[in-house]
Formats: sequence, C-alpha cells, structure tokens
Amino acid sequence: MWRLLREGVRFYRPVLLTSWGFGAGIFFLVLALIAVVGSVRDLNAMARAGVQLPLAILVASVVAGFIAIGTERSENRVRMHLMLPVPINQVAVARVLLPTALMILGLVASHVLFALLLAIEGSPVLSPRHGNVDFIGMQLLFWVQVGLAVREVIELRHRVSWQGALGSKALLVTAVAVMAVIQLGPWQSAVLRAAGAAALAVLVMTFTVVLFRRRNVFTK
Amino acid sequence: MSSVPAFALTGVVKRYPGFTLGPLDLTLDPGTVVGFVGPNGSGKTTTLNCIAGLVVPEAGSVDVFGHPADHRAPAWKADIGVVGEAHGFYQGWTANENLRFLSGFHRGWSDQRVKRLADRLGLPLDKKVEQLSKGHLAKLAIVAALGHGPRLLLLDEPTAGLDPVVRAEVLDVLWEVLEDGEHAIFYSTHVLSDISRLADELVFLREGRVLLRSAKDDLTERWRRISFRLAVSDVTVASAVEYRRVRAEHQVVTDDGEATLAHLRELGAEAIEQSRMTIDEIAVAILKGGNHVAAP
Repeated sequence: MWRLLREGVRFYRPVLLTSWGFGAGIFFLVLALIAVVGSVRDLNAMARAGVQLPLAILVASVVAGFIAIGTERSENRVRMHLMLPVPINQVAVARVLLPTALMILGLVASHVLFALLLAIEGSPVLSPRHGNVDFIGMQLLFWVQVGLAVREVIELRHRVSWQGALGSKALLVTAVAVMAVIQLGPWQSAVLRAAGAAALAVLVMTFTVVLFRRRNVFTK
Repeated sequence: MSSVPAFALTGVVKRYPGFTLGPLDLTLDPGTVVGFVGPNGSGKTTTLNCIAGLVVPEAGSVDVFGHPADHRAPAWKADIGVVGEAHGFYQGWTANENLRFLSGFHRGWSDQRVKRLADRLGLPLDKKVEQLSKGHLAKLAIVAALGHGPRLLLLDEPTAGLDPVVRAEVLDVLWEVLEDGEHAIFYSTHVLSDISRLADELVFLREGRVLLRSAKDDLTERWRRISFRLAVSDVTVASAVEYRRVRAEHQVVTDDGEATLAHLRELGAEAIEQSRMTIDEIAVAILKGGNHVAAP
C-alpha cells in the first residue's frame, strides 16, 4: 500500500508544485492589483492580507487533489493497480490516501509559510489565524473525500436499485450536514472544529473504502 | 506438465442490463494456446475480465492455477499477464518509469527480459506514455504483461486498431516469446488469422454462451463447402450448417464433410465438388449459427 501511495505522490508531485505556483502567483497578482487600483495602500494592511498566502497554498493543494482523482479515473488506474499482486484493501486505502497526502503536504507547506510570516512580521495578531489553517485544511480534505465517495455511490447505483443505494446516499448527505453543523456551529475552539472535520473526513474515507471493496466491476 | 488448469471457470454468470454472460464452464491447460472467438458484445472481454479479477461474477467460481481468484489473497495475480486495449499506465511517465513502477510489485520481474523484449519490439522506453502511438502502446502493454514471467497470458484483442505492419511485428514477437510452450494463452480476437499459427483450440462464444470448443486442426479437417446437383427443389443434408440452392445446383457448408458426402451419395447427388474452408470462413459459419437459406 505504501509503495502505491508513494509512487502516486511521486507522479502527482509536479501537479502539486504547479498548483502551488499558480496559487501563489494568483495571490500575488490580486495583491498587486489591490495595491495599484484598490483602497488598501498602506503596508501594514498589505502585510495583514499577506497571511492569506498559506490559505492560497492550501486551496491549491485541494485543486491538485481533485486533479489526481480525475486523472486516476481517466487513466483507468484501478485496472492497473488491481492487476498487481496487492490485496484489494490496500488498493482501496491507497486510493483515498492519495489526495489526502497531497492535502497534508499542502497543510504542512501552509504551516511553514505561516511560521515564516510570523517570524518576519512578529505580529501576535497572526497567531489565531494560524490555528484556523488546520480547520480549513480538514474541511477541504472532507470535500475532496466527498468527491471520491460520490463516485463510489454512483458505481453502487449502477449495480443495485435506486432504493438499494438509498442508505449510502443518506449516509453521505448526513456527513455533509454534520460538516455544515461543524462549520456553522457555536464552537470557538479551532482545534476542536479541526478535529471534528478530520474525524468526518476519515469516516467518509472509510465509507469509500468499504464501497470500493464491494464493487464487482473494476474496469473503470 | 502440471495437471492443475491454468484457469477454470465453473458456472460463471455475470449479468448486465440486456446481457448475461454464462453460465460458463471453461478451462485452459498449462502450455496450451486457445483462441477465443466471438462477435462484438458476445462477452469475450467480460470473460477475460472475470479471469483477471476485474469483474466479479454473480455466480460460479474462477480459479487460476488452483487458487481462487480472490482479491483479498492476490498471490494468483503474479501468474497472470493481461494485454488489452485499456491498460491504466501513468500517462505522464515514460514507458520505462511505468515498467519500473510495475517491477516494484512483482517478485518474478526481470529487467533483462523487459529489455530484451523492448529492444526486439523497438519500444522507445524514454518516451512518455501520452506521446506513444497506438502501436507502441500495444508493445508496452505486451512488455508490461510479460515482465514478471506469468504462466498465463490473457490477450484481449491486443492488435486491435493497429496497422498491418505493426500488427505483424507485434504478433511475430508475441509468438516468438510464447513458442517455448511454457505459457498458457487465452487469446480473444475477431481476426482468426492472428492466432491460426499457434492456437491449439478455438472457443466460439455468442451471446454470452460457448457455442463450440474444438481443436483447430479438427475444425479445418471436418468442415467443408460442398456443391452438388440433385433434381429436387429442397433437400435436408446431414451435418449441413448452411444450405443454399441456385437453380439446380445446391451448396452446403458442413461441419462433418465425410458424413455429408456419404449422405449425398445415398441421395444420388451428381457433380459433387468439395473444398476446404479457411478458419475465418469456418468461424463465420459457426457464429452465424446454421442459417438455412434457399435461393430461387
């Protein structure tokens, strides 16, 4: 499994780096446009806006995750992986871990950027935002995983009746509803919310793995 | 030679909307080459996918060298090499990177074997898969399927869509590699001339069912096209698969030339002429399924 994951990350590393490059590029472009034509002209305000850069990297990692999911599907990877002498569980887990790994790399990069910005700025006002990165990252991870889970529910729908797939659909809708509660609920602690979002993302990953194992056609 | 079949399908059934494969009982002995012939949509690819584990049948069992085709215990996959139109290669990697990826999962992988095959096929290993032509892609699929030295090779129309030159090149190498008799080969195709050189047996599939399984030599020996004259308007001829009458001349295609000839002599037929049929003609006659046509 780890080899599958490692090779997958190696394959999508250029995609991830390019996404980061685009994310940062677009961020600086917007910042430059605001500085030139917008109302935010003083440097302090610009510096405060600068803390959004790690979030741009995070979003770019999600984009890379979605690209990975789409490419794996269009290139028929399941077919290749299932012909390898690797247990199906490992193929299924590696499949959900691939976009997760790209996301985690983005999260690490965001933290490093935040730490750098803190070191440069030395401003304590940045600290609370730092904690939010994990929460945002876990939310994005959840949505990436929902993308994979939806694919599996569609596959399930192809082999059972509409009613037969109802339970799986309901589970997925419930997960999305719970995520909405976590996002909009009254909790103040970013750590707790991040943990909640992470737990939900793991649940969706498990759901995807279970559905994948129950498939009876692996040709796409 | 091992008595355990290379694969054994027992009562395999797979249902799709509007199509059911099986119940299918099929075995392949080690070291034999079997051509799997059928029209589009007859279930050839589904059958191969069942053996490869890419499709899980609703009923029946699939065994590969005595091991159940179970994804939880995938050691059996080390014995299989699959070549089909769909492959799953990493398009952004070179052919070599893809082969290196595969080598990490197969104990029996031989870089020497891969290099020899790639050289023989003229496969550009340093080219990205997305830049490979269809012919080169087919060659890569063959190298990838043979890299770990599988005992069973499943070939699903490996030359489909290739121009005649590349097709001949690919087939030459394929047969060259496989002539050692160590591989069991299950070769699905429309083009019988592709396999007529090495196939020991042919299996004909139509609408998800096996119509006929026969030794290739037996088919070419028994099937005949016979024309004769007989002063009757219509006649029922023993073993005739196809019957046609043009004025006083009758023509039959028969799956038992000797029996048909004996019967015609009994009927008093005259000007009997017989000719052997090519394997392609026989396949068409079998798959058409015994049309009995009388022309005015």
